[in-house]
Amino acid sequence: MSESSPLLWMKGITKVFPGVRALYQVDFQLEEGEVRALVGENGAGKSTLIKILSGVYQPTEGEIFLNGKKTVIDHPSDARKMGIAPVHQEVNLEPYLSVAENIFLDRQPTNRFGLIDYKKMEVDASFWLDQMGISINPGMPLGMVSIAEKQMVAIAQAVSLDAKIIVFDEPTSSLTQKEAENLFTVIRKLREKKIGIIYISHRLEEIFRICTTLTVMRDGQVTGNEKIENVTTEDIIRMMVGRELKDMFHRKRCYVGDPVLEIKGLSVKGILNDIDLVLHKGEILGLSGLVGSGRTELARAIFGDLPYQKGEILLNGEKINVHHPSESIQNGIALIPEDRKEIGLVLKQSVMKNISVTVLKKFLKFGFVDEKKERKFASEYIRQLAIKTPSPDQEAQFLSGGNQQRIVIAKWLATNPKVLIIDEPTRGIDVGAKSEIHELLDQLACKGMAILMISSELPEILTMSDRVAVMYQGRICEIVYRKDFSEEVIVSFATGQKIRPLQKDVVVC
Amino acid sequence: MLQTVGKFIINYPSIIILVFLISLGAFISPVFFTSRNFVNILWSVSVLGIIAVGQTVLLITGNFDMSVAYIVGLSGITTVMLQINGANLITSVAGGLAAGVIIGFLNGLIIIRTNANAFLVTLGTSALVYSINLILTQSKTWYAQIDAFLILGRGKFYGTIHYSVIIFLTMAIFVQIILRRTIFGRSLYIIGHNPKAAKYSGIQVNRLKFGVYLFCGFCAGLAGLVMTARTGSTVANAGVGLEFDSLIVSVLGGTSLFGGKGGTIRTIIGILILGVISNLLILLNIQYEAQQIAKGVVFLTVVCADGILEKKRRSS
Repeated sequence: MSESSPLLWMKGITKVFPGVRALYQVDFQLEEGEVRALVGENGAGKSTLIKILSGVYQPTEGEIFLNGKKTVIDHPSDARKMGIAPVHQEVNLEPYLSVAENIFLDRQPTNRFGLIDYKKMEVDASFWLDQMGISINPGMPLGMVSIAEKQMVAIAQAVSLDAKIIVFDEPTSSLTQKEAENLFTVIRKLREKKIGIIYISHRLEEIFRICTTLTVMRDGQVTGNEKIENVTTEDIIRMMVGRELKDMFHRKRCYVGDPVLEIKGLSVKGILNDIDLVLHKGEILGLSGLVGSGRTELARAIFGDLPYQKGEILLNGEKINVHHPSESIQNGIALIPEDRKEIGLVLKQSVMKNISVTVLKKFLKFGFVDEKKERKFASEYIRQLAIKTPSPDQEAQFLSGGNQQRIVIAKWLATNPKVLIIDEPTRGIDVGAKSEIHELLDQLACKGMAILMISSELPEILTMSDRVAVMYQGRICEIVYRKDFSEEVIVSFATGQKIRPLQKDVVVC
Repeated sequence: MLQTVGKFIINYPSIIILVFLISLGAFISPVFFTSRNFVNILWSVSVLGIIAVGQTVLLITGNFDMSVAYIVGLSGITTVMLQINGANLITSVAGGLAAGVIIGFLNGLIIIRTNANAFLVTLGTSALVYSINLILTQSKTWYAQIDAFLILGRGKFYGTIHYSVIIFLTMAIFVQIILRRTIFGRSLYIIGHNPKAAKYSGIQVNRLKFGVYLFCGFCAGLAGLVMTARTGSTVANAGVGLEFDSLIVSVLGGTSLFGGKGGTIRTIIGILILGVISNLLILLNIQYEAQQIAKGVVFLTVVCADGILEKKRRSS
């Protein structure tokens, strides 16, 4: 540590919202070239702190110093001018403009007639992208590039704006392993440029890889400031939740039975190619692969949301034809989608209505929904799944990510499914709630449910699955059995580095 | 306590406006607070009310129908033309209703198949329906031929209130019960909030949306019959302006233009507010131009308030 003042010092920050104290006396420091992890459960105050730093909120109490100079950040545009650049979870860029136009948004280079000089702009954009070692065609419309590349564009924009501090909020949540690796390389480059980085993530293994220091928050206060080499996963989790957590979750692994769902030669033009898959009673089959490899599409095809041209789906040995999710429900197939807020739930409806929507028929009395029965039913699920809500009538939008996920699970368990497809079961959910959801999935498998679990998180895939099907470019390129489980094996198949003719699918558990 | 009142006002602001307007009316005009005047107000809004029931249901699903005004014309014209060509009461009425349902069918079909913007598609069909009306009527006024038909518009139930009012109120209450208490109704709200989530919950989104367009066409057709029976005659642009009015009263009652929120009982309140305002303007002998200004102001206020409240609900 140098004797000079830190790049950023947020001193004694308190933020009070009507009825809630979101932050209390938070001290936060960042040095040049430091990558500081900011961790904490959802609601711990991380986003509030970042919003204060980026000028969205004003602190109720406390001061902010940039390079030792007291600073007031009134507005996000102020923050930008001072060199503070947030790279958001859902990147806010213009999909119809090109990559270059996005980098130079509202400060495009002009020629002598005052018109935008597109050539110069693209050359300049390439310059900044090259500096970061990013290879994207700057003329490409942003809507055509992947989420990972959009993030890179946002980073290039920040660097070109001479950012001093870059904030990453869950940057890898929608990235594949390989894309995340690229991001880490870029972050290392940013460090060399003496940029201070705040890195918010729920993925602890990432933090150990990329961060140099760590700040842990809990209930609006800082509970720890450590050098990364001085802490272990257990330490971090303890600081986050204030209680010891047993390592990662361990599955009971019960009996695996007969095939429930069989997929034979399923093909969707340009997306899925000749998919063969068998899912057994009591089994959790992990589905791994890069984003865009067809994982989610396979789930949608089974659920009747994506029409397929070839192949068949058998349920308990009988061929089924599903053209709409309503038919899947009748067949006992449930899909818990990746995008909980937009597809899984109706955020503005009550917890009760969200849970009961799939089974309203159960409560009919002379053709009308009997709300008493409905409420009783929903309350039972709220209790069983320990959904934390002040009442069944609370709107789903006000609950935390973990509790929202439980509502979606409840909604589908209510249909009594034989097959449960769950896409990214714990995305954006904090550590404590995560293992509780894992435990729930384990219990369901033990009760004989056949579970197909899609996940981008390798630790989740490895701890939860009985077998793992790895997808690559619309095909299932390998089924990995438990005895062969390792991150390397799955990554090498998922990235297409290793391709082997698929052996016939047999169970060995 | 204050918070509960505040919440109540945010959720049901319209009742307060209605109470205020009625007290104001009682204060400024001696004729206003009489049962005869109230019967008149109800009668004057019943046509609009029947349309608004359909429009409200569409709004709940996040859809619009701007063609209702000319459907009113079309159904009246169809009925009168059938009567002129010798059809009996039942056939002519069925014909008028069918005309409305057919246009609803067309709207629904186009919107679901092409995923085009509902507002613009129905404006388009609206222009087409108007031209059909012009061709059928040759731009002249035509008169209903069957006297019994006129009861629908002018008749009173045992000399108390008009049948058309009873039809409107019954429909509004009946539809409200369906909206709140049946799976069909509950599904409409989900579609309005989030059609994608609705589909992933197993709701046949397109089928229900289609049904609601049919219903809205039916309501507009029925309103056309009532209007024709009231005046005994019909012209090509008989219902002009009712598309906007039906939006005003729905939103005035508290149904949101953003979908997922509202109900037909609310629409009754909205209708009464508009009815009382125009009744007061007439009682006070205010010119037609000024009445239009008042309507414009109410429309803008209501639409802006809906936007602001939506923003509040989101941020709360």
